[in-house]
Amino acid sequence: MMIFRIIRVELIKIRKRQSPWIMLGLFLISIAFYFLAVSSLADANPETTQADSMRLREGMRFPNGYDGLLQTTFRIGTILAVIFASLLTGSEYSWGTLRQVLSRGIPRTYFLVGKLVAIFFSLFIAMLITLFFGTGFMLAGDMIRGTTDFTLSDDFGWAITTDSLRVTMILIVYACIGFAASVITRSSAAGLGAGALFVFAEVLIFSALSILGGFWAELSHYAVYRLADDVLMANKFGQSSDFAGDWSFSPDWAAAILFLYIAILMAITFITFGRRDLKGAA
Amino acid sequence: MASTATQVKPIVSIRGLTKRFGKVTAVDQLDLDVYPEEVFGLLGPNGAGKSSLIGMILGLVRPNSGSITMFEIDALKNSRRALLDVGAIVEDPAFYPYLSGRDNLLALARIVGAKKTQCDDLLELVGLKQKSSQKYSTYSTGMRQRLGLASVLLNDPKVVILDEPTRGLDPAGANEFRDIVRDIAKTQGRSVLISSHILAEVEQTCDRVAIINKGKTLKQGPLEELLTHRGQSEFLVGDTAKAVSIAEGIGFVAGTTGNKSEIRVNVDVKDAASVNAALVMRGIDVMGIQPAKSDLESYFLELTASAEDQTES
Repeated sequence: MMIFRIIRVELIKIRKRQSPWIMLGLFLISIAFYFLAVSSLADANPETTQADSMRLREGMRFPNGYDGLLQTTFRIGTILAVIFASLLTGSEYSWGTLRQVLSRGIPRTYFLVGKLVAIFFSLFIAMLITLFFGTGFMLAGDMIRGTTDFTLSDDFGWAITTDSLRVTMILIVYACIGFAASVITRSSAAGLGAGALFVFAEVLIFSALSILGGFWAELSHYAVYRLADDVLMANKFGQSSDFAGDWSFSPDWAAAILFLYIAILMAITFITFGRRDLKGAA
Repeated sequence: MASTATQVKPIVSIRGLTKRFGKVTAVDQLDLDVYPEEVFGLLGPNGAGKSSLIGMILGLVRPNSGSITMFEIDALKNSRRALLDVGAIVEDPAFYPYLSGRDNLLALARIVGAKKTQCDDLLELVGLKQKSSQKYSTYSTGMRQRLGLASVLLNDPKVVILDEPTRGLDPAGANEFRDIVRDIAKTQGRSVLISSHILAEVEQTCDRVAIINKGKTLKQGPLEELLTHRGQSEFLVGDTAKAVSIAEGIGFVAGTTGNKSEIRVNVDVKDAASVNAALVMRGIDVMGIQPAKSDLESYFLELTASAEDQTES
């Protein structure tokens, strides 16, 4: 089937491209840096009390370290997901490869679906790699400290699977924003700019709205960042607590609203792409 | 194929095609037919609407009105089926710079369902086999065009569409490319639609030509016909000055020009015999008569100039 062939080619292209690997490398370095930073804070900082030191060390041990791992993945990964999806999509415009593929009679919808599926799959793989390296960092830390005894709860496997999938889902939401921005603006740079602007501006705008109170504060609950935060409240590991004290949607409702956002965004993207001329006036 | 073109069904048929970009009409009620195994040239200056027309044929640009039929399939309603047997380079060849030439070709082959072995054969055909493992970003313009041509031939398309294919090539490279294009049509039995603003290129490569300007077809037909049947006859005579004055005295002769040995009489070819008789009766030695041939450039300039005049008036 043509759609599977397109997905396969998209995955090959991602595998052979440098930028996704560079991004993944940088991300893993930042995870390693996170563990090192917490470790040095727990061990060497004279300001840290013994109780805090104990708490920090416990938080880095296997399996408690998944808390920090998934939170870091959520915070840094969302930005990287936007960059990744924007680059992958927008470069098809700037290199002109989009015209080449579509001029062979490939349906435009297939092209977009193929790219999206490849992006989702890559994020899933990136999540697995992150878990693999994160687990390695935790176990290595435990071995260095000589605290290799740990107990796993009965639901550990299920919890880490569902928690990771929730984080991956949030990454996919942000990837969709980068993807849509690139398709609509027809450029990786513009898409990247629009996507990144959204990620940063949204937090600022909705934080300002929540300060205003009343209706505006209520509105801030519908921000993507806030909804993502609400979804992750269902996690056993890596629960986000940025908005503690304020009411929030249930994780299921937050996920449903996010799904609705993405459905609308994708509908706009697909319709725009389907109707648009892919060449300027001669 | 030009001589039999009228008896054979066109493989690509365009009727009343119009495309407007805002207030600019890029293609205006354009009709066009491409027949099997011919090299069809789309000739026009920059901005004539050639690329927009090709974009519409390939489903990249949505026309405002008109129809495109390919292999008797409505290409506007079913572009996927219609384009199944079409290979094209739109503007410049476009590939992924981080992939090698071979990987680029393999990627496209996988999408269109072509066999892997065909990629190697095509790389050989275009003379890129030795450098196929190099990254595309390191390729010269000529190599890029060759890879583009190889990609066009994936899946053995019946129609090949090339938009300004020799742009950026040096004269030797352009010549070689034209030879390959002719080979594609003549020995491999494909139809080639080639757009160009280079008159010599069209003259050397094409069987039939459509001259378009400002989105309209000014003239369409076999190249020979366009260059000869233009209402002019050439007379090879002994005394050109006297012949010119005699010819100008004949009522239906619209104009004459002469040089040392021949005069060019602006008269319909069928009336050439009457002019000949008049010249002979007045004692002029007529050594030969033939339909006047001009180069495509002068014809093109004449056509586009008269189209400009009509627009202004």
